[in-house]
Parts: sequence; C-alpha cells; structure tokens
Amino acid sequence: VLITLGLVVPNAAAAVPQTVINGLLHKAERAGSVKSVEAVETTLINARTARGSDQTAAGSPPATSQMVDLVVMHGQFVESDVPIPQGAKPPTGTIMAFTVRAGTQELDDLYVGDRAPTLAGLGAVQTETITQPAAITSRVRHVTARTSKLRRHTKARTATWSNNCKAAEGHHCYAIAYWPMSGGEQVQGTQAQIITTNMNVPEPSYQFVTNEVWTVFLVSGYWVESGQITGRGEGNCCTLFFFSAVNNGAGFEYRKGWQVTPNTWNNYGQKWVGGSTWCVTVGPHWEQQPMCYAGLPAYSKELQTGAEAFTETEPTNSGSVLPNAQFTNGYYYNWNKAFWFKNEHMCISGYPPGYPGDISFGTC
Amino acid sequence: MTMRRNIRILLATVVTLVALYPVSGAAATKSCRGPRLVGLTLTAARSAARRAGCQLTLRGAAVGNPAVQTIRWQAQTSRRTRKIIVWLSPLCATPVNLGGPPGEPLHTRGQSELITGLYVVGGPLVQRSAPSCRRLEGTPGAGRVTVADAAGGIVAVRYIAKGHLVAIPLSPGIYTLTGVFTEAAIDGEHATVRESVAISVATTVRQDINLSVP
Repeated sequence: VLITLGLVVPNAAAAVPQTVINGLLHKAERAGSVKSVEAVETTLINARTARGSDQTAAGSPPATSQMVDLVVMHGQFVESDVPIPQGAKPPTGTIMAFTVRAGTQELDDLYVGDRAPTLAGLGAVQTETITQPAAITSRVRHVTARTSKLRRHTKARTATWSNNCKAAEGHHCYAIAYWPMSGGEQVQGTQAQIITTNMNVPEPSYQFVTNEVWTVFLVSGYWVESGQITGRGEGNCCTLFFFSAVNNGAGFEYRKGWQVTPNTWNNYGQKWVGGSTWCVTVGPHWEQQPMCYAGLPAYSKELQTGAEAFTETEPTNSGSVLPNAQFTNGYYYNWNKAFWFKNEHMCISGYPPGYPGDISFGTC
Repeated sequence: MTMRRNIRILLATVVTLVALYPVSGAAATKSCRGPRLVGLTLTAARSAARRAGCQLTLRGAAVGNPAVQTIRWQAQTSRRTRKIIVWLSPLCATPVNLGGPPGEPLHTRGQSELITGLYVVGGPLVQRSAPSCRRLEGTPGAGRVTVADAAGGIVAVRYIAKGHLVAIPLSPGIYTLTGVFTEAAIDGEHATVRESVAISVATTVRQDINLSVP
C-alpha cells in the first residue's frame, strides 16, 4: 500500500479532456445511472493512492510519474462487462472510477464499489452534476449525416391530402409552369403578373400556400423568389402578403412584405442588377426594388411560376400567372417554352391566349 | 484436269474469303462491348451504348426525363444478342432543399438518446433521380439545438456544424426541441423551430427539426 508516499500535485491547470469524460460517461451509463462526475488529471501513483489500490505492492513498480485521468462517477452501477467467476455476482456500487492513461487513453484500472476516492489535493478537480431526468448534459457526439438505417416508425400525424405530398417530399406540393433552358439559353430576370382569386390555408400558424415566381440557379442550388403568401404565421387563413426570399451561399433568407389585395393582378419579378446581386421587383412597371440579395450567379437557366403548398390538410387556392423573361440583351420576351408539373389534388391549365408559362393554377 | 479443278477450288475459296471479309469486319466493329452504364443518365447511357454497338433494353421506372433519370443497375451484356438490359431509377420531383429521412420519429434499439439535425426544407421544384424517391434526404444545416424536459428545464444545448447531426443522450421522457438555424433568417432573425420528441427506454430516436420555407 502506497499511502505512505507523498502526493505529487500536478499542474493545477491540467484538465481531463471532455472527450475522455464523454467516453467514460457512455460506458458508465451502460452500467447504470450517473448522478455526478468528478475528474482530475494526476499521476498514476496519486490516483492509486486516492483509490487505495494496492496493485503496485504486488508487482513491479509502475512508472509512478505517468500522468493519468482519474474519472469518478457517482450513481448506481452494476458492472456486468467484466470477467467474473462462474456463479459470482457482478460488482455493484455507487461509485464507478476509471483510471485512464493520459494521452493514450488506455484504461489502467476500473473500480466499481461504494468507496469514493478522495480527489482533493490531486489537482484541479472538474465536477459535473447530471441533471435528471436528462442523463448527460455534456456529451456531444457529432456524426456525419448519413442515410439512416433506423427502423421506420409510423407517425400518427402524417395526415396528408395528396399522395405526392408525404413527408418524403417535404410536404410541399406544386402546380407550376417551368422553363428549363437548354443550350445557350439563359436569362437575367423575370417579370410576372399574378392574381389570386381564392386562398384558404387551414392552419396558417406555420403552414402556407404561395403564388409566386422563382428564378432558379440549378448548378449551385440557389434561387430567388417573390410573390404572395398566406400563412407562415402571418395573418389568418386567407390574408395575402407580399414576400420574397433567397437561398444563396449564406443560407436562406425570407422577408415578409405588405398585405396584398386578392382578386387583383399584382406584379412581381426578379432581375440581375450587376455583380452577384439580384433584386426583387414590384410596382406597376416592376420599377420598385424593395429587396436585393447578393451571392447569386448573374444568369439563370430555369424559371418557375405557380403555386406551392405546405399544409397538412388540403387548402383552397386558385389563381393565374403571366410570366416573361429578361433575355441577356436586356429586353423582355415571352418564355421560349414551358413544361407543367402538378402534384395530386393540384391543378394547372393554360391561361388564354396561352403563351408558354401562362397558366391558371390551384387546388382541385 | 485435276490441276484445273484444284485451281478452280482455290479461286472459289479466295473469292469466298474476299466476299466474307468485309462482312466479318463490320460485325467486329459493331459487336457490343458492354460499357458500364450504371450511374449515367439515360441520355448518356444511350449514347454510350450506341458508340459501343449495343442496344438498350429498359426496365424499371418509366421514362420521364432521360436527361435526369439515371441507370441504377445493368444486367450482364450478351455479346451474341448485343442487348444491354438496364434498370432505370425513377424521376423524383422534390423541393430543392430536402428534409431528414421520411417517417420520423425513427426508433431503433440502443442507448436512450436523440439524434437530430437542422433542415431547411422547400424552395422551387427540382427533378432528381434516385433508386427510391422516398429515401431522399437533404443536407442538415448549422445551428443550435436546445432540449427542454417536460417541466421546461433545459437539459442540453448543442451546437451543430453544417452537414452534421448531433447525438444527445437523454433519459426516457418527453422533450421539447428548439432549433435555431444560423443559416436561415426570417425577417432578419435566425429562424427558430420547435419540435417535440418522446424518448423511450433503450431506444435511439431520430427526430430532425425542419424549417419549411416557400
């Protein structure tokens, strides 16, 4: 027994790495419940002295100056992960103490019992109380996003109103016209006249329906959009608001605008104004630029317009849109061509006289 | 006489070989070498098959957009028939930004913990190709997740880097998750979304926090 040896107090500033504590907490949790943790970095000889271990008395003297992390868990433990004689009970107790070699993190000793080592005087003791019912407040394990192999569990609240609007598709439904440009086709702006003749969002606190126009930058996955929206926590079931949003290198940004009168043709658009900046345009001649967003390419190769819905139950919406595009010569023309897409329970039809992209949209 | 007959046979043989040579040469250039097509779009696969002198036989999903849909699997090429049978992945129409895996919360046996991430979901429509549209997942963003117990006490706060999830050990119980998206702003403020989750004994729960946007 080495209790006659003097304690060597290590550098008080030394601390047990959080990763070490986290790993040992993980192990302790599997053996029981943890109420608190104490940890100190000290020498191996001091750690054994503190725990009253007599291992060195029976064997060859270890490198007593070896630095170790002594981590003591307080709680209730049953250590069944150790070899024990047949018929014997696994060690139990209110203390689970680990002695880990600093640096290599090699486990030098594991103790389970009721005798708590005295850490005072060994160095700077780190203490942590584990709040119940939450188990571990300090454990962080970042894991790279991956395809989950977790077993699927039925979710009660996934009531959807369209087969194609399940959670797998983000609950977003569309009735849109889009122009996927090919070859040398590209645009530097778009203008659209949009009218909403009917709008009712059942749960407007967070769900929404939009009638809008998008400029899409497919290669980067960025876009800029503007139009009118109901829901998303603004107004009631049926009030329309102007909105614009962008998704660029800085992330997503949404801005709510003014209230919009239904059953009127309103002008919305986006245009490149130089550099990496696109501005949202409104007004009788799309002459106003209430918002501008940077971090976007100069040209776009896809325009979209129509309705987007994010609701758990079927909303009511109908409207029309007449879009055009600003070509790279600066002039505005009709779209060269348009394709349509709609989810179930969404409808789309051509708006006379039927230039590409001129559509009526809505739910049905 | 015999000599003349031998010469005639020799000439006939030569003529036959000369006549056959171009045919066999053409067959060689048009033989199907079985290019690897898995992962290519249908448009690219058709070109590659044509260059290799092979014919494509399509199986699997219906052709919606050959410039987007990809080949998910191909059968071994028959040099004799010059046909390559390929299976086409379906065309998936989704928002540009996708959320976490479908069907959350997902439960699996293990230690009692929560796995969560922050997803911005929505945007314009985009067409993708994948073996299963339902299994498409987005990329989680950066932010902060706060876990509160049923009494409202904060039991964990975690910062998440872009592209990562976080695992938070929790005792069995019901919790409220509050996600603050550092890369998503609503009217100038970081977007905040709340979600509830129940943690059972010896169960790992995957429950992400989705911010749905237009």
